[in-house]
Amino acid sequence: MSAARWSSLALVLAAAPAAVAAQSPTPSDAVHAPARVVSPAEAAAAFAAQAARSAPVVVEDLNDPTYLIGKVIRCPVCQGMSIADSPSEMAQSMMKQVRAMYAEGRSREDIFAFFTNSYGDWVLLAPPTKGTNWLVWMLPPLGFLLAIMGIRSYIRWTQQVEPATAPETTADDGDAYLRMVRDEVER
Amino acid sequence: MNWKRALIPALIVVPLLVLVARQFGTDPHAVPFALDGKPAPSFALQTLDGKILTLTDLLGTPTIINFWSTWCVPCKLEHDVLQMGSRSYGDKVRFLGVIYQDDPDAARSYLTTRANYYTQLVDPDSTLAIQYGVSGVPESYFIDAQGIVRHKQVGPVSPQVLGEQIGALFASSAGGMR
Repeated sequence: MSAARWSSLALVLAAAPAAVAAQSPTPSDAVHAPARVVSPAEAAAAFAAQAARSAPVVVEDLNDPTYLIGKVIRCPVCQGMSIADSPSEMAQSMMKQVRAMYAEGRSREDIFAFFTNSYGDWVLLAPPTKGTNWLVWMLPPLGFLLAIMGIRSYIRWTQQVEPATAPETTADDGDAYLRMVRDEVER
Repeated sequence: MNWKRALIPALIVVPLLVLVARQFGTDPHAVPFALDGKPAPSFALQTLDGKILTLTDLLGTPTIINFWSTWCVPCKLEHDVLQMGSRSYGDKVRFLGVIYQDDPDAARSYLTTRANYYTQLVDPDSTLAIQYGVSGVPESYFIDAQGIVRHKQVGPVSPQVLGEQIGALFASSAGGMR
């Protein structure tokens, strides 16, 4: 391997911990880092510390009501994961809160209200159908209808235009050689 | 094309474009500040010294609650700023640290190596962090004397931010006293 390739590999390996820390759902997102370059050593240390504090998610019953509630609540330190699926410590603490409230007999809506009070509707992975959130629910079917209408209009337009503009043609029109042969035969 | 026929798609497309254009200016990862202008969530937590501290103990004085951890590099960067702030403002502003997802012994050990002029709270199971809408550390919440949350600082607190926000807390507290 050439020296250039070795140096490229070394660069990639040196940047790997920072890259992993930047993409992992648990470590980097739990730290609000200022706009500065974090050294690979710092990133690796933060990653190791957080990884040690995360535990794999074990789901015993997929129909467990608390699991189904947790599936709708967003993990605030992850990217697009629910607290029921995230192994981060924060998500597990939130699941613990969900289980405690459910055990107290609190309703699903009460539990959602508890979390939206702290994090807003953002914390719900299925936004409630109110206010501007209606757009989120209505725009996809509207867009679909619009697309169907557009395609239908286009097909109608092409069907109307084609017969009017198509010139009357014969099989050999435009073929100069055939025309020459026909003239020669007829002569 | 007939303008009336173009009106319906335009009525759908234009609001959509406005919505998309507005969203381009926002950070998709930013967690909303849901407690803005609302009463601070109440709590009764143990301090690192083993005493119990409640929210009602804090009312009457502007308070800054800082969530931090020993495994968080930016928290270490802001540590001295908060400590200096605590010393400078004395009794006029109350500073509180909340140890976020960390071992209290690790926090104790860390604080023996650094200056520490204010109370540190232990938050088992992150109950207080969840109530305040914390999405990572460091995060600081600025609460006025009436117990209303006025500002949320995501990331390290700079001396400038600290000065500005404490000034705003004093103004807010004075307004509330009238």
